[in-house]
Amino acid sequence: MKILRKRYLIVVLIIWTLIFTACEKEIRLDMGDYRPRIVMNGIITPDSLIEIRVSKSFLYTDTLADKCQLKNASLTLYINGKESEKMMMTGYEQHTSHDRLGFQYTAVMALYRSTMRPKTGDRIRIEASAEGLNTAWAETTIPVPPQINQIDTATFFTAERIMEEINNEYYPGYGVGTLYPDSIREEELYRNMRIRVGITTQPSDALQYFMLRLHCNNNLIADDLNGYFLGLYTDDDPIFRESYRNSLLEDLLTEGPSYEGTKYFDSAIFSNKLFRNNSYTIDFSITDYYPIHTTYVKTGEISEWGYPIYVPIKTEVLNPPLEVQFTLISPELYPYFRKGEYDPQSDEESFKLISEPELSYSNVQNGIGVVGAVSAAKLQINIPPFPGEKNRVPKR
Amino acid sequence: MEQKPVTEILKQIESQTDYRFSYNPELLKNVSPLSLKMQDENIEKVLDTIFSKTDIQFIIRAKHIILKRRPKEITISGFIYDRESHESLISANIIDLVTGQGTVSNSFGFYSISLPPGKISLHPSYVGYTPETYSFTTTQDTVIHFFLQPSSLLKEVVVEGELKNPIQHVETGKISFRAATLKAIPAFMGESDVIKALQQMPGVAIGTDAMAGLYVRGGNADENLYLVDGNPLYHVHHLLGLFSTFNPEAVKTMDFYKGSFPARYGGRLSSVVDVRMNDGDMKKTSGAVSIGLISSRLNLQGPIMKDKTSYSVSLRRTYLDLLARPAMYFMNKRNKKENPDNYDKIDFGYYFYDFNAKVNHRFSDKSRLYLSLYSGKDKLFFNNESRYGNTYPEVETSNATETSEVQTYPISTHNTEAANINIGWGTRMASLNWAYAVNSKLFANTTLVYSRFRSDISLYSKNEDFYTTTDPQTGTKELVSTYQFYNPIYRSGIEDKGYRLDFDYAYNNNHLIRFGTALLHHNFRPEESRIFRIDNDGSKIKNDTVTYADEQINVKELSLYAEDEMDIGQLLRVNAGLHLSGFFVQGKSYLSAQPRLSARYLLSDDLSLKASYGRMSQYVHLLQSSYLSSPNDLWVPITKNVKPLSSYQFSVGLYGRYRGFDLSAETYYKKSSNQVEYKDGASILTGNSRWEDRVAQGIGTSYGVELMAKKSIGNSSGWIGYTLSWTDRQFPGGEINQGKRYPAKQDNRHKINAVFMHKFNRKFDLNLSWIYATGNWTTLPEEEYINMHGVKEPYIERRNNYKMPNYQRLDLSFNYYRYKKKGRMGIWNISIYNTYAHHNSFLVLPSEKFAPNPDTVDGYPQQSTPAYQSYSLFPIIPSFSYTYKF
Repeated sequence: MKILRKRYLIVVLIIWTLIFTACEKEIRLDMGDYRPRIVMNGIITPDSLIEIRVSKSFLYTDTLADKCQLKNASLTLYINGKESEKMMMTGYEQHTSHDRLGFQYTAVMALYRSTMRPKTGDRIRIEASAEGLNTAWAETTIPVPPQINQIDTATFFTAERIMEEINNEYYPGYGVGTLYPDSIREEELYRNMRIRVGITTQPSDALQYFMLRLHCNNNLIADDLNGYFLGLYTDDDPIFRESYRNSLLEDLLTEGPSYEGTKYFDSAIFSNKLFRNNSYTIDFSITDYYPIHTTYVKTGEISEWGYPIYVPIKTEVLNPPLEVQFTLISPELYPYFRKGEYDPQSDEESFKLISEPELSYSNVQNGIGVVGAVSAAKLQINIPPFPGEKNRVPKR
Repeated sequence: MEQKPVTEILKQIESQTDYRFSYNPELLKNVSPLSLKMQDENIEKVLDTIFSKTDIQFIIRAKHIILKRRPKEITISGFIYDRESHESLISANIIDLVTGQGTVSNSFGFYSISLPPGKISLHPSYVGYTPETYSFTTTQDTVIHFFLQPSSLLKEVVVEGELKNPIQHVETGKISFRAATLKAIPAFMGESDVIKALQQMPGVAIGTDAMAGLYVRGGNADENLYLVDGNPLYHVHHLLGLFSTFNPEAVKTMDFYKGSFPARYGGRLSSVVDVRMNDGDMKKTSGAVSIGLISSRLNLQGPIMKDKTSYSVSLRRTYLDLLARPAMYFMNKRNKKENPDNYDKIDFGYYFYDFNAKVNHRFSDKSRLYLSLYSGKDKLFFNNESRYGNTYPEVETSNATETSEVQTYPISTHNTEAANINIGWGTRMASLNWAYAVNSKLFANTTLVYSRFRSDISLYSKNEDFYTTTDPQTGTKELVSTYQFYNPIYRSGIEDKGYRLDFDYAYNNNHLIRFGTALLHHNFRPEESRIFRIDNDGSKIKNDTVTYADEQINVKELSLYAEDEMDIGQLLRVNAGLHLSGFFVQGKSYLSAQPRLSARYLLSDDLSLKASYGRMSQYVHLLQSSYLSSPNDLWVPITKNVKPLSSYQFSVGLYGRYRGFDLSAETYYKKSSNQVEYKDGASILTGNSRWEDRVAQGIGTSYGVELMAKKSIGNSSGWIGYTLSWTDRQFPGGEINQGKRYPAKQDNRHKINAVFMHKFNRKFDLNLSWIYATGNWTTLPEEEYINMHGVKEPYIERRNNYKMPNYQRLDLSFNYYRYKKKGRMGIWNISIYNTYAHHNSFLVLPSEKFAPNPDTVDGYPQQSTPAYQSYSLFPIIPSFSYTYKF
């Protein structure tokens, strides 16, 4: 199916290419008076040291290797209106990557750290200055974490998956899928869990923004297993309507998720617009919360593709605890989280040609970047051992 | 004097001046006493004040003033036609040479003029026709139809753009065209285009190179009311906007209003394009066939019943698909023949067509019935089928157990993949129009209208796999098949049904009153978005239908209007009106009262001052994210959440004639509220979120000055126009550009248009048009930064931060006429679009440039560096067409 979707993409791109490449000519922008801006990024959490990454902006046409590196910047931390300290530069972070056009670049960011650990409710202001550049500053308040009052769960079964599998298992030498020893059979129906979480927040006149995630703590069971965030089925609760939904045509023309994918996310962002008396009971569902762990052994043979052949010898169903992470996001961070992570190679970036331009979000005055704060409330759901019959595993 | 009899007032006048009155005392017997206080006033003004509200007229002869009863006026009415075809002539002038009174025929060629009984000398005239004078004497209401003779001298020469004298008429910013002018303006690929002709007018922004979008006085492309024989048309473009849906062969006249809209028009904020189509020749059959590079056109008109019923039919169709598809058919056939198990079939094409038809039946001199039909469609399709087949003599399979056993099976596979893309959009419209001259003063027009616009995007893919395996031990063959079918569709559309009643009432020569009402029932289907899927993996079949959006909005739109075009004295002419409208949607009623006022004051015979004010409301809008017109554009109504668009506009202008030049200077200020635009970052592909969530409403402001000079000398004519304008947008809700004001895309500060048409002789003519404008605005990431995750990201601080390079274009069109027997004629047209191949930016993007590698001998591999690239759509494009008229 993806091959076919790719074909649509190719056809559309051919049409666009025919139109757009009729004639091209280099344009030089008059940016003679351009002055770079200080870039600051950091997410502050209560009772932790503050870490801010600092660099400077540069022109699109700039080809210098160290164009983003900002040396000798000075960062001052203010807590609740009082100068608290000069933040220390602890070193540089480097990221080497490729941009949308394939140009390789190395991003160099100076890492500044505080010695103070601010608390919830503290008003934080960070000012950055550097020679030849305008002083930039950002402000945020560390939110008071919400309170999780209660969690109710109920198991239900469906004939169809309620959302697409996002934690596909990889078995060695083959790829994605399910491969069990012969004795193992899947359950007849899909096993899901509906969860209702009652929460209360501090009274606030301003809109509050939240992020919900559910972490499957596989790693607590065995060191060689990785924890992961579970997909959230959110169609039952109107509070999630603000969350991003995938586009039908976007999905078709790109290689994004197929239509089932519109129902799953591994995080959900929403506001307190529907809260009553600062309280709300969130309603969502999950599936695949019983991870299936299969042990394989090498047969010593090589497949026709040149990979060693493995066979499954043991499959067990795990029941790691789930951690509900309910995070209150400062208003400065909400647009950042809502927009999602920037991926220059994504198809979405290609389609921006025919979309309305989107302004870059920044809460750094006189500069660029995002400095905000989060406070999370966490609660664990203990999952009982898999109640299915012997030699049965949850349907995938 | 306080409440004195008129006779006493007249005596006072005689005592204070040298004037003496002569009258029959019976005449003043019933005139009421009146109060009068005047000093050092002209005698005419004094007498006007005394007798203006009576049926008494005065005649001043030297120092004698004769008073007598005004004769009761009679009304002369009728239709003005083309003598050869009996086609009605719209906006023809008719003047009584005895009294100097005049009027203009309406959209059906009907005129009505009130005159004193006695000798009458009517002089009808119309551009391109020989003016004639008819003198007669009558004392009662009379019906006279005029049949004007087309002037052979003017027949194929375009010397006048406007039909009505712009100094005299009352509207600001009104331009009238007839078909010949529209056809003469050089056009893209030789395809004459109504909308592109309007782009040559001051106050109309350039939009995108070669596209037929209309951005009038800072308005958006959806703020123009397109009327075809009075019926509104929504989608007016073909091929992403390269061509408009108006077939020039079918067009008779066009009125374009960009300033003051008379109250009879409503529903859009920025302009009215009122197109009238040919009625059809009542006398003889005639036609034209035209063959061009892109399309061919056929136009036929003639009588069905001579002098009673006529028809006019026009068809235009592109034919690239007709040429390409047979070639693809034979290619596919050859592929399949060469390798029946492995082949590819491809079939794709694009076409558009327009079909206009009009039947005109004359019941009597007073009554006519018109049936107008229109159908236009764009269709883009791509079909691909691939088939792959293989037979493997031995394939190893292993059972995944510890005691794995390897077996060998002969296997054959066949795979068929099919993919189709079908994109189509089009309009159908039908209207039945009954025009009836109720009496010599009242003209009624009743219309039943139906129109439908639909856009349909359908993607379809099918994947079938067949595996045949043979068990070597038993020899049993097993066929396993899998099947996947995937069919997403995306549709939108509007269906309108309704009626309209319009009345023209010529109360007298000083008052032409128009009034009417309309009721339209709209059925909007903004988005229907579904996916059908079948998945058969060989063991089970899964059927899914997922509906993302299927919204229908039923709306009633009611409008009432009344306007009075009146002469107040000799110099002042005013059109005052009110347009009332109601829009009833989703249980909510939006009512609006839109006053319209325009006035003309004659400063001299050759100079007039005009001013206008108008409020407008708009209840439907087009969600369009770029200048390209695509089938994904949505026409949507206002709803309980999206408020109606509204605007007001002031304009003031001077119109004059100097040394043969028709000159005009007009300034305007327009402010609109609840302008609809996509929010920042909204993707036109975002089909899953509701459209209401993707739009923001804000304020639009535009103002500017428009200058125009026109002249005709001998066989040459043309005009030059200049526009200085500002257009911006602001969305106080912060959804766009963080609520800050920003220039609109079409904020072209300066624009110059020049059009020149010259006829060398009977056989050759040359037309030139040149346009220069400051560039459109676009949003460009000038700066970059490193984000939270160490990833380089473009930084865009504000919308429309970069002005694209200036736009300029010269178009040429050369016609060669070959006259043949019996009035037949062949016309060769050669056109050159963008004659000096100026690079007109359609899009500017951050991209890369390549330079030879200095470290290698041959310069390869080339080095690339980041750069901005401007992309233009069309360099120089020559084209030709041949038209045969019979």
